Amino acid sequence: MSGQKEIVGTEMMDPTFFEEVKKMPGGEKLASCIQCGICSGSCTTSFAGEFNPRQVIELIQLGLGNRTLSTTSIWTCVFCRTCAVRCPQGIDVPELMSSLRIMAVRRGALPRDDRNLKFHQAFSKSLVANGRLDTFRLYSRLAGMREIARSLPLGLTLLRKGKLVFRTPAMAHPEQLSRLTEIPRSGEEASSK
Amino acid sequence: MRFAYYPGCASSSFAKEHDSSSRAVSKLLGIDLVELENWNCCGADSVRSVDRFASVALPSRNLALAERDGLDLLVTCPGCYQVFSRARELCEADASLKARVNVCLSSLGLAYSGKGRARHLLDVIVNDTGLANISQAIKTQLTSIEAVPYYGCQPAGFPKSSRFDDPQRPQTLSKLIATVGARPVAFPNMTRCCGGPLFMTHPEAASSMTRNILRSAKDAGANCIVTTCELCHFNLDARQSAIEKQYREKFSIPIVHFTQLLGLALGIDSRTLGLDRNIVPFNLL
Repeated sequence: MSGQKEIVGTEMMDPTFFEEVKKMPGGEKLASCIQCGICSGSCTTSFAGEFNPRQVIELIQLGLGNRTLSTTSIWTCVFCRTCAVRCPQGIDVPELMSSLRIMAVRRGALPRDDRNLKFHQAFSKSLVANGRLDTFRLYSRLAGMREIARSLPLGLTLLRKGKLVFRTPAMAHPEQLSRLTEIPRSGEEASSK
Repeated sequence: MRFAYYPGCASSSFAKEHDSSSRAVSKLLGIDLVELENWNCCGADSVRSVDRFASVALPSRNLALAERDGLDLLVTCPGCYQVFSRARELCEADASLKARVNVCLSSLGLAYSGKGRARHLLDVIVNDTGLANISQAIKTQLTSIEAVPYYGCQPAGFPKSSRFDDPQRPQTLSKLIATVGARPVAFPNMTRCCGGPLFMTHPEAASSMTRNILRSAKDAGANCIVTTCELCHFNLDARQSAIEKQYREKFSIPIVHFTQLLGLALGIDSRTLGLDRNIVPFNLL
């Protein structure tokens, strides 16, 4: 079968995609997946996405690269690792999800529902800018006006309780962190090839 | 016992009471906390979704700072603990990754050997200080509290080398609850995710997950939920009344950080423990 391309739905099966994912962190043991579904019975958040973890792995095994990378399901995982602890084959599904996310963004295969993608990007940006997370600014940037209006009662309670910090103090010289994110970006390509 | 204390972003903003109660309890138990100078955010779940190398290098900077002082990092947030433990484990498993991290750290005048590691405060209290010593320091038996131990989803995420309990059937928190004279209540959802990570992006899904924890704690017969994670605490405590309205159910169940519970038993005043910051009133004593 390898080398040949079959058509599933509207997408060509591409065996090279499976090979590629197997080389990424979390993908090492994918060939040993027996589709038992323990991951999916354990998953806390698959109800919020399109596919459960077993189905995501099946998409990969079938070589359906676009379908895998553009599904919201790789973005609704919360890295709780319940699946990884229970997997009889020792597959590290959360590490796989991280790898797929990075691959998806690199290839421009963005999910239709990109709320989690936007959240992680905004969080990371806030971190590199301040060195620490500015929770309130992150929230106000991500939530729409309607959501902010809806959360007003909670906001007032938090304010009264001293739990609303409008500006989290930044670390000194946060610009030093760019040494830890920029140089390695090229290094990271090398490690995932 | 001396540690480099890493408060983390949650304890510095919406969970200041976890910071104040952790400091107070540690001081009383002789755990010496020196705040890590100019620490940076660990990156949480987000950086690993964007830049894999940075998800190891950013936490490594904190580990390297602690290592320079010859100390382990003391962490109160299980999310941060998972991130630090993952970074250390990945470096130990991959020498070339560790070397690349060190190239970057050296431009900041730092180095990470892998010797320094993160410790979670719950682990240090229960396993280093020890329950026998804690029993002797107890001033008030909290007999009116019937609490479910709620770990949240993080313990399953601790890599093998950093586990201090069974990832699926942890007992540390139950032991602590029993030690302070309260009754630990059996709880099937003690390691089920609270929905916190989806709170800002999928509020509907997050609310149903949070409701599930609150409902099952009530059904188990508890009058209190004890948490180890700041995000779980926020989600169960601050969002409880909104969830009550949404699902037309009444919970009115107080949520306390494990450090607040222990602090009360040790005789620390409720203001220092930040109990006045909890949204659902704590009225069990």
